[in-house]
Amino acid sequence: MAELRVTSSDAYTELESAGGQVNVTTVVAYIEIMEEAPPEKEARVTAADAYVELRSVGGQLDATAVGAYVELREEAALRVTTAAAYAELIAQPPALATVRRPTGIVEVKWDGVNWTDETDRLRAHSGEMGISAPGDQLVPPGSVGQATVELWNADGRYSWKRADSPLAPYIGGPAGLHGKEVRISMGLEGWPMTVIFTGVIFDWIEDPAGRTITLELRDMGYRYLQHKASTLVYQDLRADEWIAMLAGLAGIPAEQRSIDVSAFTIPFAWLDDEGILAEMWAVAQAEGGRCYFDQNGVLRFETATHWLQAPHTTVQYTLTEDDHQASVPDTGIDDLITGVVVELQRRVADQADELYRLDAVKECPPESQIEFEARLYRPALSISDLTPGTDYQVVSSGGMDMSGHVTLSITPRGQRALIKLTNYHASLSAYLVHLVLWGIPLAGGPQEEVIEEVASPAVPFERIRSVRGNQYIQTESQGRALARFLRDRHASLTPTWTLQGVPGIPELSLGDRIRFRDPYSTGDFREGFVIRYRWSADVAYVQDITVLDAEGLYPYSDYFVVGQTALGNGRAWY
Amino acid sequence: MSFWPGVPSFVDGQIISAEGHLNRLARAERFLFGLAMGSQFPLASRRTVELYDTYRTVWEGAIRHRRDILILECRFYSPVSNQFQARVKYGDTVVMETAPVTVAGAETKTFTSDLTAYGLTDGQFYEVTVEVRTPAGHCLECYAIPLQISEMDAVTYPELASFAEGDTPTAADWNALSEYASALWEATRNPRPPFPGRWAKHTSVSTELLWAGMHHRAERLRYQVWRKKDETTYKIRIYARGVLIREITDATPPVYTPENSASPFPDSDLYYPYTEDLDISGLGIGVGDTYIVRIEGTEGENPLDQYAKGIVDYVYEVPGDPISAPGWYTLPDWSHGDVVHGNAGEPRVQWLRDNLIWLTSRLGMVNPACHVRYDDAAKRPFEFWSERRWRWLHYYSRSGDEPTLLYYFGGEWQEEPLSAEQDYSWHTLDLDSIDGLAVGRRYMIRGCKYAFEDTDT
Repeated sequence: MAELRVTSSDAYTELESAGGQVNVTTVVAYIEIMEEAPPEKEARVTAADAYVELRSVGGQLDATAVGAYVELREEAALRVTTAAAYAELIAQPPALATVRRPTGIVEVKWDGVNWTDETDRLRAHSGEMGISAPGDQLVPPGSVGQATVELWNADGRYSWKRADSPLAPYIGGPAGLHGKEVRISMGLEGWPMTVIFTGVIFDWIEDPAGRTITLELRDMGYRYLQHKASTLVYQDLRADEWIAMLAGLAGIPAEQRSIDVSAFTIPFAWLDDEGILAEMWAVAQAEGGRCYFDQNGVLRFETATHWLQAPHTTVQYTLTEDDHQASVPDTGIDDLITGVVVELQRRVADQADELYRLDAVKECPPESQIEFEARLYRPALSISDLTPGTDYQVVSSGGMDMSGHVTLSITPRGQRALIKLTNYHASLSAYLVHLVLWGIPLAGGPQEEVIEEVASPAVPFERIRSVRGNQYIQTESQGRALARFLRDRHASLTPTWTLQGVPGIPELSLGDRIRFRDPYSTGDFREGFVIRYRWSADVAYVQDITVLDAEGLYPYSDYFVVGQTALGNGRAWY
Repeated sequence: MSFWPGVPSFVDGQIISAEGHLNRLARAERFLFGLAMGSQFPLASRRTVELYDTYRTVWEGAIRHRRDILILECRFYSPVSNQFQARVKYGDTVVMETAPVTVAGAETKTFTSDLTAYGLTDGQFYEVTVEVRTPAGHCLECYAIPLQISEMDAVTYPELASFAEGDTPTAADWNALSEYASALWEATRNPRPPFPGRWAKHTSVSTELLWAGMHHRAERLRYQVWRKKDETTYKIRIYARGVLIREITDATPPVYTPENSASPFPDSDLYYPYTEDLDISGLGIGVGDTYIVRIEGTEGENPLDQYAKGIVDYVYEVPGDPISAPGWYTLPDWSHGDVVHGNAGEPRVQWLRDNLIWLTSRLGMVNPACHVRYDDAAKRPFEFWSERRWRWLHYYSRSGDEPTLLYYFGGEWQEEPLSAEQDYSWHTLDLDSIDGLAVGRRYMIRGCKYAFEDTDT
């Protein structure tokens, strides 16, 4: 079976000296004979723009000069096969095929449960995923990833007001398509697909003229963005334990979470009708880590040391200069600092105090129950038991003591308490005329700061980065660790590189360590972590990948790993 | 306010953090070290002479039940070989009755009892009485002095890895350090009774001011006593482990401090105060040993004086300055980039391990009883004395007692009236609510029958 491969110009140069070169004019590429004689011959095609041209015609091209087909193949290489070989190969089952073409799948959970494949109507999709570097301001929840999907809609399948649409039962409601889960997968035809985005429909735009609809998607964080909750005050939870608890409150299934173990403990943690995701993000920020929903819709909490461990310690993809059109550097000059201020939000158990006083009479009709939420003056660690007559008084409208006919219960919820009054009297209403809650409140606030200065600042004028208002930086040790980490992290510039026009790599994930050649700024290979990528897939699947340079990002490479490093052979993190 | 910083948890595969892991563990150990080097109060007692074949009460007090094993350590004396038998009651329940023990001369005996069979309620206060008898019959010269009445648990500590250089401790090994520290903290966070002050009965020629059992941990003995000014021949003698370590006579210069100069006591101008920290490190008392502190007064000139001739405010152990703690490693702060060493190079994590073992023998891990306040009327009101450590004060009083908490702060004695009810009952006070009564500040409680500090309500 003959096979032709597209390789780099280096390969061409090397082979050129050995002769056997064919110019494939149709794809502006070179095909070179690798084997001795036809039909068992193999050739390679080399050309910087061969791929681009291929992409423009949908990934397949008849290389007539050699009677071969040139196709996109896995990992952005190109493969050329003879017409006979191609015909033979496409007849093979997928596992045996060596010729593949990129393809995409778009699925939607119209019914909220089952994925429906809408690929037949897919015209194009594009999007981006992005996270922050360790210690940087976090990308807000719901903004980590976004995508657009363009679908054929000539028959009005996706038109939410079309009663004859088969989707009408699912999208015909007042919210239309809003909130429906969508996932996009990419891969090579006949092979397992890789999910490159999971999110929800944020908005949609119908184009009657073009008979299309464009879905605007947000990452899965958007789905949970408005979830709020109130909790008890929890003590001494590790940051990851609190995040797991919050994820549970938000309804994020356990299998949809990937949570790093934190080294830090939160002395006091609670919610008071607060956004759950915002709290998670604050927890992550407090230790220089990050939270985001990845392309699979999985909630990820990554500590600042996440990239110091496998698989991020080894290069997952290598891109030569032929694998991207340009590498554009960015210095992120605003990140350069001379010092850091981290505000501590200490919390302590205060002295017993009044937490709540009823200000309006509550009526509980005969043989019934009322409940109301008392908003406490301060979050409470505990609420004292109530003593009738002293802490509360329940009477009839005529002043009769009703305490023997009622029960009063309190369910503490952090800065609130649910009060339930049950009146067992058959005929008299019970009036709660006096209620005072006592207990141990939490005290504290932003009263201290940790200041860390760069010993030898790289800039001659002061640039201070401040971290304020994060209620999860409660201990001096955590504040100090964060301040020192940020100080070192931003004492010098860490460039980012945006690699443009990279043949799409469906398996690429945020945080992947890649090696790439930067032919202009450094003329050398560099390594870094993927912090953002954009893609577009219409006739071709192309990515722009932003990489945070790994050089100097972490001061050491020999950190001490519990259970793996021998004493004396590893260093402590902050 | 509790300073307990908690302990870290470790997970295999996690990069170790200087602040989140190592320094947190170090802070926990330093906290425990501070407790071990903090003030230690003795069990105040008295010598009950003349025992019978029926039980006679030799000690009364209270305890907050927390632990499962009761310990009674008692000093017996008989001029000839004789048998002693002791029993302890919580309220009306006998929770310990010892087998008769034979004693000739003075001997200290220790007894234990498993409390789990008695249906006691954790956290509840019980009045405690210790009774002793000589089964063989009346003994005029026999006496019994309880030196320790306390509860403890049989604490099981995790096995600690060696943390030698080159070893690769697992998360379980690291967590064992945390668990060990937590176990120490749990075992040592016991109710803390104050010291009941004493005076010599004004109508008695008794020379005894105090017998007390002290668990030795620190190297100084702090005391404050008062001697009546006009009793020129009256002497106060302080003994530790039978050794006279201070004699206070008319020639001894009084020691005025801001605190005792501004004394809130009525008639304090009739007395000279004496206070100091006595070095007892040369007495050869082993750490953890119980020794007797005895304070006695001589007969004096006027045995029928209505005033007490000698008064003991307090006596308790305190560490020296600088602290002497051989075997304790001063723990560093680990920083980013520090190599995590075992037992070579610095800083070493093996110090964390060794310090825990050191602490095991130095921390007071018993839940002691509180001696009842003497009910006798005296010219000078009688006080409990303590140094603030925990947050919550539990006291037992009634309205007629007019209980009051007093402490010297801001250049004068502060008075904090305590609530009381008609009948005797237990009350709880949040000491954090009292301005200036910070941890470590000495204070007194007047008008209570019992009192304890505790870490919780």
